Amino acid sequence: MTEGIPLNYFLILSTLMFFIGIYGFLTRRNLITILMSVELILNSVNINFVAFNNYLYPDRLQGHFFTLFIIAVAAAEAAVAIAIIINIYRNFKSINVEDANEMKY
Amino acid sequence: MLTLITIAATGIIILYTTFFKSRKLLVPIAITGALTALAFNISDWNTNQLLFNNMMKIDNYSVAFNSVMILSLILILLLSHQYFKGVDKNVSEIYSLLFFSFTGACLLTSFNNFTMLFIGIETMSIPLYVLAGSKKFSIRSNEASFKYFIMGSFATAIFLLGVALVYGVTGSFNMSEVSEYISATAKISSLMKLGILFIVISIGFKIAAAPFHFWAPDVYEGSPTLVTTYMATVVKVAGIAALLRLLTGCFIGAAAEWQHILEAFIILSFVIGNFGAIQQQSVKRMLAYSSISHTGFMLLAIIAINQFSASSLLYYSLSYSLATIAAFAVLILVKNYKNSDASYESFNGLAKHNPFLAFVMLTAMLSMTGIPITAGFFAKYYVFLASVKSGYSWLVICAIIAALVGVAYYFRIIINMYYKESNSEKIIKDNYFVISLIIATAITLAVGILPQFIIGLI
Repeated sequence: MTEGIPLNYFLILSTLMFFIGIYGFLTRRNLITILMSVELILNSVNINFVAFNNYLYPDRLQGHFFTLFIIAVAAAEAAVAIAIIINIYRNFKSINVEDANEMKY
Repeated sequence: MLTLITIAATGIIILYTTFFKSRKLLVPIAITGALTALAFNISDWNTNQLLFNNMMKIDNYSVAFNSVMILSLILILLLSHQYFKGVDKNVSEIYSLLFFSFTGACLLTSFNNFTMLFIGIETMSIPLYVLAGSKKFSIRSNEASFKYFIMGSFATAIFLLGVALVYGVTGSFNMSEVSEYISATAKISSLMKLGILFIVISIGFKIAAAPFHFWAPDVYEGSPTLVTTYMATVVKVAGIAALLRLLTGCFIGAAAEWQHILEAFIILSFVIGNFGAIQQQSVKRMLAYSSISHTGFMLLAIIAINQFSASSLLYYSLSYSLATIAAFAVLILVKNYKNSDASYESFNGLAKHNPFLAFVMLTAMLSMTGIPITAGFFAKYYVFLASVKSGYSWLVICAIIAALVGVAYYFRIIINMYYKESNSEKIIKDNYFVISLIIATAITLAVGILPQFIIGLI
């Protein structure tokens, strides 16, 4: 299925996704968008794992299984994050990170 | 193995107590579970087992660190009875989340595979995000939980990238296979270096080592104090034990690469932890910054990476956990009694009407500073010894200066307790609370007088 596509293309794709995620994480002010950026980073890592496994170590499936673990954990994390964000919305009436600055040194 | 099952099962049993409205049973069930786990854990001593296709490795190292963490958990559970007296809803969920999070902490001391390390970090962290926000209607608690979540998930992402790079180079998640690969290759590739850098940084996030500490003061201040105690003791000890296990078991061949990173961590932890702590007006925030500086001392044992590393780190973890639990316990009482922001002034004149509490706080502060006959002195001594043996004398000199600066903020509390006047009265505390304080203080003093019991273990 991936014949003719070199490994580098996958790595470039995942690196791009990783840095788009980092950029979104640092610049966005909406909590949901920050959560989406984190998911983007995790998925870029998934591409890395699957590509390395498929091209470099095709006889063992370790990378694929690690990806399954990451997907499951990311789902749990997203569920907790949404709960936290709903709670923040109830208390602050906003999901902008800049409104949540009660504590300062 | 049985330790893990007992801890997880206790969490589930505690969830069921909600149905029977048996609030009084909560703490006894939790403590029974923890004690059973401690017994199973100690029975694993000297049985080196490999479990689940070499995914987990239970050896004396993991048993020793698990025991320290279970001891901290029991002390925290003893404190919780009085702490949750005013709360009427959802208390059993908090206990079970504590236990689920503790399952992850146990995994972190006994992993033998990157998969288990990842699962351990996440199992430990995800319940903690909820616990940090468990004061549902407090704005500060919400903010703390959110900040912790953002930083924690970012650290996870970086950790996974590091693992991906290491996997790309070596083709394995198994620690011994990765270690063999590193020792077999003459030149470590730059992908591998980058992977190690990312993994060490992400664990640095979890243990709040200095350039990645910025979430810690806010999260420690905003979370409910009991959860803060758990974070400052169990989570930090688990993270630092995982780091030492990872670096000795897996990346020992690339020591020159990560020792530079740890040097930066240590120096920055000392500087930021100490100067941050001096400036604070709130004791809770001061303890948060002081825990950053303690991270620096613990990393000093790791950077030495010789046969003294594990035992000195174990001793330091024990003394640090006990002192932190005692300090936070007294803080909980003083804060609730004065209904205040936990400033230094609320400790004024504590010794006059509450000599027991003042004495507990005195030992905790002396132990944190590192004054002899408390455990803190030998903790620092052995850590320094380990790093001098590996030729890090200049770091030890920095550490001694940092310990001297620490006197400034630890002794401020002691002076306020013993030499300042105020119209405070006797603070009410229940039996569980007193037992916890007595155990913490007694072990601090006993271990301080007879350090060879702990130091000879591993």
